[in-house]
Amino acid sequence: MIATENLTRKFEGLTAVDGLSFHVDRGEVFGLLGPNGAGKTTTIRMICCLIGKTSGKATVGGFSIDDPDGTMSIRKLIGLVPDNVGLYEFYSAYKNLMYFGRLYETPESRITSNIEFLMKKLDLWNRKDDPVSTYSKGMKQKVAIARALVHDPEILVMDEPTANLDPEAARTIRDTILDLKKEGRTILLNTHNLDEAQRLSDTIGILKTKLLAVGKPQNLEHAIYGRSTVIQLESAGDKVVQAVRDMNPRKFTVEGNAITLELEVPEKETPLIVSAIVAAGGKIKSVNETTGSLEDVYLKLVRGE
Amino acid sequence: MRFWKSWLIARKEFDFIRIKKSALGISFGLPIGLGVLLPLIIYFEVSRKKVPIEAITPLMGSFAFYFIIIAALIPIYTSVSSIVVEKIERSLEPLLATPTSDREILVGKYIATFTLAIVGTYIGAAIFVTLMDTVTHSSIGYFYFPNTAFDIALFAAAPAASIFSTAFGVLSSSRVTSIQSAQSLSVVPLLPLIILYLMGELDLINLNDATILAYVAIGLAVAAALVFQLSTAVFDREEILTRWK
Ligand SMILES: Nc1ncnc2c1ncn2[C@@H]1O[C@H](COP(=O)(O)OP(=O)(O)O)[C@@H](O)[C@H]1O
Ligand SMILES: [Mg+2]
Repeated sequence: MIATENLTRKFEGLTAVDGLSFHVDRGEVFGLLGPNGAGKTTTIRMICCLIGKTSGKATVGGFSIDDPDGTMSIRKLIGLVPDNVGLYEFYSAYKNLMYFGRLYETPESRITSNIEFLMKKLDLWNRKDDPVSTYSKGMKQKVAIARALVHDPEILVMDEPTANLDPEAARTIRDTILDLKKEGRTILLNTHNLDEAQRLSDTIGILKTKLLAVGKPQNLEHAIYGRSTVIQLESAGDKVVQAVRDMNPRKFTVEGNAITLELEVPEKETPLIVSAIVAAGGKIKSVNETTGSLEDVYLKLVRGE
Repeated sequence: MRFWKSWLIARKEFDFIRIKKSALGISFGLPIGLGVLLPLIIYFEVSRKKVPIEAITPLMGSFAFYFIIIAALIPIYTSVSSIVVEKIERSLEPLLATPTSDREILVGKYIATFTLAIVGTYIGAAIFVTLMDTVTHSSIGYFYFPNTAFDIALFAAAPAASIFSTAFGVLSSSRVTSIQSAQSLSVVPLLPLIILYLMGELDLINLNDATILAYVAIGLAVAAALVFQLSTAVFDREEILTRWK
């Protein structure tokens, strides 16, 4: 649904986004994870045709962001939750949604049924006619999400939807996003919150001006740290160590009575090595697979270690 | 350019202005105040000091020019606030993300600002005409207003002045980075009007003359058309989104 190729944006000498290439498939939740100033907002603004690019390509739903007619189609395909909710405070939530439904050229009957459905689902319906200025931050964020969905967009783009919310409100918003994910929506989610990216996304892209890594959360962990298998023995005698060496693991280290192995395919190799150790007379206390956490991966990449 | 979209945006502006007391005060309070105040001045001149009516009518005629100024004055406040408020409340980003063109958005703002200014001006003018005629009919012997010069001032020069000023407000508020600078820049379209008025006071031109008022109207219309084109040409969504502090 979204594809970028070497997408780059410079601001007077400063490169905010550099050579970004990624794609988001239909029904996928793509988390763009990065610290403040990483270029997340700049990226989605280019994708939503709000600002221009310096170079590179991007398409949304097959339309290019360069094509002036395409940009109108792209805007219709996307529902945007910007980093600032930007609601009309003097209007009720209902009127805000009505206004945007019309701006998105949605048929009137569809707007009203969508508003009712969304507001009931987001637990806003009983306050629908109150001015938005009387809402809590969390409620405003929910209205902003409803506003992004009122025209049944194919793609939902959210810029740090839980930033600046208290933990409880943030949680409600996350649950809402999980619900949307279950409905099979295509979502591009910006966040600087690792836990959030991990819990909500199918795919994570780690961004710091450049895209440092892309992958499923668990694959990212493996890709950066590898997976290691730790075999704890009663005693790691020479015979046992030799038996392990004979199995040709990619890398292994012995520390006290523990052998740590780095394997190409742990699912296949671990049982064979375990058998070899047993055959060599070794007594195994435990076998564990460990991996670096996504947090480690993230910090390592972002700090440029 | 789809007019219904601009109208949609204009309606939102009306809703906003309705609850905004300062905008209402300027759009209606000012012209209504003027519509009441000017006849009162004449009333006291005529009834108390017994000034001959021949000395009064040129003064009455020159009052028409006030309504041109009012029509230009109201949009300074309303056009700037309609764009600046969206910038401050960050509602421009979601608005610009919708499939709506810059021109549709701007024309929506124009419709709202212009309508408000002209309706306010006309309400004030209607009160002015009614009271003026009431006050002066017995001494002049006929209804002084409306007359050709006044009609030209009100129906040609005032709308042109209002569009000119609106366009200027939109232009400056989409380019500068604070309300203060937007509002001080927007005062610029008032300057030629004030100069004309002073020239009238100094008897350098006769602002009661229908022909001269027609020239003023044409001049304002040309200026309005130019600034309107300019304001839509330089409206830069990217700059508006990223430059505003
Ligand atoms: N209009 C602009 N002019 C100059 N620099 C900008 C502008 N917008 C963003 N930047 C810079 O680009 C970088 C990326 O910003 P942004 O996309 O907002 O990051 P994020 O959303 O990840 O926090 C930052 O260094 C920011 O200061
Ligand atoms: Mg950001």
